[in-house]
Amino acid sequence: MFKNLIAESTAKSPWLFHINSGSCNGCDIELVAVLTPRYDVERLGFKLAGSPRQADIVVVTGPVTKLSLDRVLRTIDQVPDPKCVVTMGSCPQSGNVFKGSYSVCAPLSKYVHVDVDIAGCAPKPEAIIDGLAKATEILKTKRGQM
Amino acid sequence: MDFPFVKEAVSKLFSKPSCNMYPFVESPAAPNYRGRIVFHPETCINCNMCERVCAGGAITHTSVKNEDGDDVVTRSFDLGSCTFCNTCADFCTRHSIELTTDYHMIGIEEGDLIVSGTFVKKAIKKPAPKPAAAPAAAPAKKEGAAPAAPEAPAAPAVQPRGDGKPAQDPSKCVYCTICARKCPGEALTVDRKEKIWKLDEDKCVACGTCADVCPKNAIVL
Amino acid sequence: MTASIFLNGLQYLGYILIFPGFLFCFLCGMLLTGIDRKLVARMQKRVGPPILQPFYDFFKLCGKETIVPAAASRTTFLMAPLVGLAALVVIQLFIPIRGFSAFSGMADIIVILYLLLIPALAAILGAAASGSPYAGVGLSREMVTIIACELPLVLVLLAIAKTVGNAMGTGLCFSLSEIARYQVENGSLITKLSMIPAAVAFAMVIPGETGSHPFDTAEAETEICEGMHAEYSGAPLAVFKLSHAVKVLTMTSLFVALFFGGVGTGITAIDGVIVFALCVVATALFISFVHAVTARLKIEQVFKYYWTVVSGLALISLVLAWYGL
Repeated sequence: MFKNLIAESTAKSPWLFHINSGSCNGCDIELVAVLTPRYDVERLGFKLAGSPRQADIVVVTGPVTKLSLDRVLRTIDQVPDPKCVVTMGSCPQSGNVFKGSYSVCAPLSKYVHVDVDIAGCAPKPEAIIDGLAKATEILKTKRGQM
Repeated sequence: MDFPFVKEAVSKLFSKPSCNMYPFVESPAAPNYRGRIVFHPETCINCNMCERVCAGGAITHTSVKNEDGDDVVTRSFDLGSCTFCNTCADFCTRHSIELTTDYHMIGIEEGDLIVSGTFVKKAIKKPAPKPAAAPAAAPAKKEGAAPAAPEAPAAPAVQPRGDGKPAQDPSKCVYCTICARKCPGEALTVDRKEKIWKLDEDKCVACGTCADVCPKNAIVL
Repeated sequence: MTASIFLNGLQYLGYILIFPGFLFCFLCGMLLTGIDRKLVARMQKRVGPPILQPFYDFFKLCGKETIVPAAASRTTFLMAPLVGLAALVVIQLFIPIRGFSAFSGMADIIVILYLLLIPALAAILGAAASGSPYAGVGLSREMVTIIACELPLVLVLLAIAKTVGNAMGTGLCFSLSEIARYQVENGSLITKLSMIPAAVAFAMVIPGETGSHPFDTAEAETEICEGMHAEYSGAPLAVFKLSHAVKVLTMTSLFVALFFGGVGTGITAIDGVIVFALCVVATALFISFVHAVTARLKIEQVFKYYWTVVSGLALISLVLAWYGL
C-alpha cells in the first residue's frame, strides 16, 4: 500500500530541471510560458527545481554543443532515480539546422537514454504539457518497477 | 518601499483564474499555426525541390525499382529535425506538402515523429525506352515513346544553343513547371498534361534562372 | 504507583507522537503549506496546485534515491534534517492552545528562542557537510538571516514578558503557560495598545524565520540552486520540506498563542480547531500575501530591514510596555 502511495505521489509531483545546451532560447521561453498563469503546470504538481538533485524530469533544450555535452551528461547523472529525460524541440533530437556543425554533438540519444521527445521548433506550450504528462506516466511505471 | 501589486493580488484572489485548463479542455491552435506535416504522395512528382530547400535536412527519400521498372519512392519527413518553416510547402509545385494545425507531436519510440508517404513514379518518358531505342533505329523509338515526346528527334544529349538561351533535354524533363514560374521574362510555357516545353525566343533574356532552378538539370544553356 | 507512572509515560508519549507532537505537526504543517501555495497561486491569477500537494511532494521524495555526495560528511549530512525536525516538534509541545499545553515550564519562551535556532543551525550544518559551494553561499546567507531575525524576535518576546509580568506583579514573565492563562483571564494581548507594534513586528518576523518570500535569499532557487539544500535528495530533502512546513505551523501558532491567546471556548478540541483557523489566517496574511506582492530582497536589505524597521517597532512596543500602557 505504501509503495502504491509513493507511485501515485510520484505521478502527482514531478519536478523539472531544465538544461540549456546551447539553445537559441526559443524553447526556453516556451518552457517558462508553461509555468506562467496562462498555462500554470503547477496545478498538475510540476515545479521547477533549482538543483538537479531534487529533479524528476530533466528537460534538455538546444543542440548539445561540444562544450555543453559533458555538463549535460554530468547533470543527468546527478538526478536521483527514478528519473526521466525529455528532449524539447528539434535541436537535441537531431541537431536541426545546426546538423553537421563541427561543434554540435546533436542527437542526445547517442549518449543517454531519452524517454520522451517533444517535437516542434519551438513546441507549443500545450505540446510541452502533453510531453510532460507522458513523462510522468513513464516516471510512475519506473517507480513501480523499483 | 512601495508595493504596487497589493491591489492586484487582492482583486485576483477573488476573480476567476486565467488558466488555460489544457489537458482537460481541448485547446485548438491558431488558424495559421504550422504543426504536423501531412504529405500527399499521390500528387508528388518527385522533383525533390522540398529536399533542396529544407534548412533542417528533415526530408529524405528512398527509391526502389519494382518489377515493372517503375520507381517506388518513399519520402519521409522527420518532425524531430523540422523547423516548421513552411518552405517545403511553399516550394512544392503540386501542393503535396501541408503543415496542419495539429501540434500533438510526442515521440516515445523510434519512428513516432516520422511522417512518410510512398508513391510509384511511372517510368514513361524516363530511361525505359531510351537505352533500348538509342542504338536502334529512329522509327522504333518513335513508336515506343509516341505519347510522351513530340520533339523526340533530339534524342541523344541536347546540344547547347550557343547563344545563352536555354534548351530542354526531354529525356530528363519532368515538366514540373518550376522553370516557367521562375522565368523573370515569362518566356517559358510548360504544359504538364501535354508534356510541352516551349521557349519564346523574343522574350528570353538568357539569364539562366531556369537552368538554376531545374530540379532535374534538364535545361542546358 | 507504577501503573500511574506507566500511564503518565503513555500520556507524554501520546503528546510527543500524536497531538501537539509529531503527527499533528505533520498534518497541520503540510496543510498550511498547501493552503499557502494555493493562495499564492490564486493571487497570481493561477489555479494553483491541489491543497494536498505538499503531501504528494513528501511521499514522492521518500521514494526517491538518496544521493550522498562523495565530498560530504555522511553522518552529519543525513542526521541534520532529523535534528531540525525534532527541535521544531519540541517547540510545538510548548506552545499552548488556550489553557492547554502539553509541556510547560518557568521560562519556556527562552527555551523556544533557543529551539527556534536549532532547525536553522541544523540546516547550516547539513549544508556545510554537503561540501557544495552553492550550499556554502546559502548557509552564509542563512546565518545573516538568523541574526537579522533574532533581534526583533527577542525584543518582541521581552515586551510581552514585561506586559504580562507587570500585570502579574512578578516583573518579567517568561512562561508561555502563564502568558496563556493571563490572556484567558484578561483577554488577548493584541487588545493592549503597547502590544500592537509588537504584533506587527512579530508578523514581519514570520516570513523571515520560515524563509519565505521576500526573505528567501538563503535558498534562492533561481540564483544559487536552492542554496543550502543544493545537494539534498530523496528522504533527507523530504524531511527538510517537512521541517519547513512545521516551521510555518510553529511560527503562526506561536503568533496566535502570544497575541490571540484569549480566543476560544475552553474545550480543547474546539480550541484546537479555532487556533488552526487563526493559523491559516496568519499564514494567508503574513506568508502568502507577502509572497505574492514582493520580490526577493538582497541579503543586506534583509538585514537592514530587520534591524531598523522591525526592531524599531519592537522597541516602541517594549518602551510602551515599560510604562505600563
